[in-house]
Amino acid sequence: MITAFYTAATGAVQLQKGLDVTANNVANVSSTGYKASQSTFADLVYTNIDAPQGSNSDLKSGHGVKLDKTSTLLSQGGLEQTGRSLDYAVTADNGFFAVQKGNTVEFTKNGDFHLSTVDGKNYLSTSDGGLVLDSKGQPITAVNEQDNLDVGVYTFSNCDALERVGDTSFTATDGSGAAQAVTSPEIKKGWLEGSNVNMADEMVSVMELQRAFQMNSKIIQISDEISQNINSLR
Amino acid sequence: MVRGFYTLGSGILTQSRILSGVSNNLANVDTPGYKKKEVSTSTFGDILISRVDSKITPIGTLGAISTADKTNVIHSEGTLKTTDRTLDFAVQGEGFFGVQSQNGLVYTRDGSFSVDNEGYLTLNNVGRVVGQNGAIKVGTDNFTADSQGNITVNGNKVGTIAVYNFADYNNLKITQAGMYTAAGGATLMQNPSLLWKSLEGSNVDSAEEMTDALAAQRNLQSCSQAVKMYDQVLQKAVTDIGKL
Repeated sequence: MITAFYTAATGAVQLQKGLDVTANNVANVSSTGYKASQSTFADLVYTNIDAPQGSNSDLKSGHGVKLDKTSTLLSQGGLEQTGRSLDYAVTADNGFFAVQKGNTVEFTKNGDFHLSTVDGKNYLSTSDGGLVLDSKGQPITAVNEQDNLDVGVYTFSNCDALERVGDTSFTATDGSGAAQAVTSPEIKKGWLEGSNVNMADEMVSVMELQRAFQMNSKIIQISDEISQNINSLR
Repeated sequence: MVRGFYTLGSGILTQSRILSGVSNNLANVDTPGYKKKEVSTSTFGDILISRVDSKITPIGTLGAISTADKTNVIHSEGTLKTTDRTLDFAVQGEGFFGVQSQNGLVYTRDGSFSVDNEGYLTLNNVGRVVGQNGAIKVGTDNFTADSQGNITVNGNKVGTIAVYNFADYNNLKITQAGMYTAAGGATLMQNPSLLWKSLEGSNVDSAEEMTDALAAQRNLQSCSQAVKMYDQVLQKAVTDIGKL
């Protein structure tokens, strides 16, 4: 019964982590350019109950579950016309704007840009001061906000491996490969891409995970009652 | 006389093993491709009991010990759900994906794949997915796939996911991380039916598991209650009979 206790404990802990992922999706239902995360679980080790470890026995006991990975769903969010001339949206699932923040370049679908003045020049920038890059990887200067700007769109050979860094931004990893500029990308000026979170899916996931959590807690309780029972044998 | 203690003790142990099986099923209620595992019980071999009078007369057999016998995998199909992620696959009907792990070829129904740093289709923490001509180098997550498992990148076919089937699912053994191994008998399916951008959920029925958990708990309590009664009987034997 001690095994059952710890197995159910991994269930309760890991399923709650899954709920954390879902909660973050729900919280970002109206974040511009947000991409939903999907949590995937995997089972933990199996050990032989009454045979030496490693031998091929038919009687095995599993030891619970782990949150194996969270992957990003890159599907297109809803496009919303804002009419604001510094709003941009990429219409391809795999296209991102590049933003220079200090020495690092981050990639985002959030095209809510502004003009910021550095050394007397107007630069296209994000709301937290990062400089938006053009297709050649250079900051974009603008005279006024009506200008037609060459906003760069970048893609990766494997967007699934991009790493989330917050602010609806991603960074490149070894798995994703280096950013490649997209030639003649489809950009919509005066539009913003909304979050791709599907509330119905998320609510189903909340209920699913909540019930799963409750059932695992119940098993913990049952295991505890059994321990109590055994303790009161004498 | 004290034989009963061990019989009841084996009952407690067996029920607790059933409960740990149930607990693992419930922990994996959201694990893609997970199959319910059921601990079956049996008697530990019967013993011959005899009446001892002028000579020893056999009366019959007695199953004295109950034991957890086998962990059976229930291979029914889990629910299929669409995820919209290009790296997710589900097998419809029969069949298993093959994955080249460190300890050889393993089989699974979990199709939540990734692309590793060298560009091969992999199953996270297990190994590369087996294609009909070795590992599949996709190099991107921007591909299309059909129900036969053919993967196409920019119009070029890069590989076909191999789907295996077995004549006898009892040949499949559970390995360390929930994958299955087979001593042999794997045949490549000619016409597999894959669902792209979908995952197969676990086939665990939570209502059934909770019922099993409660049954195991009560059975265990019955055993422990009987142990107490047994103890009282023995106490009588030890203290009261000695008074005569």
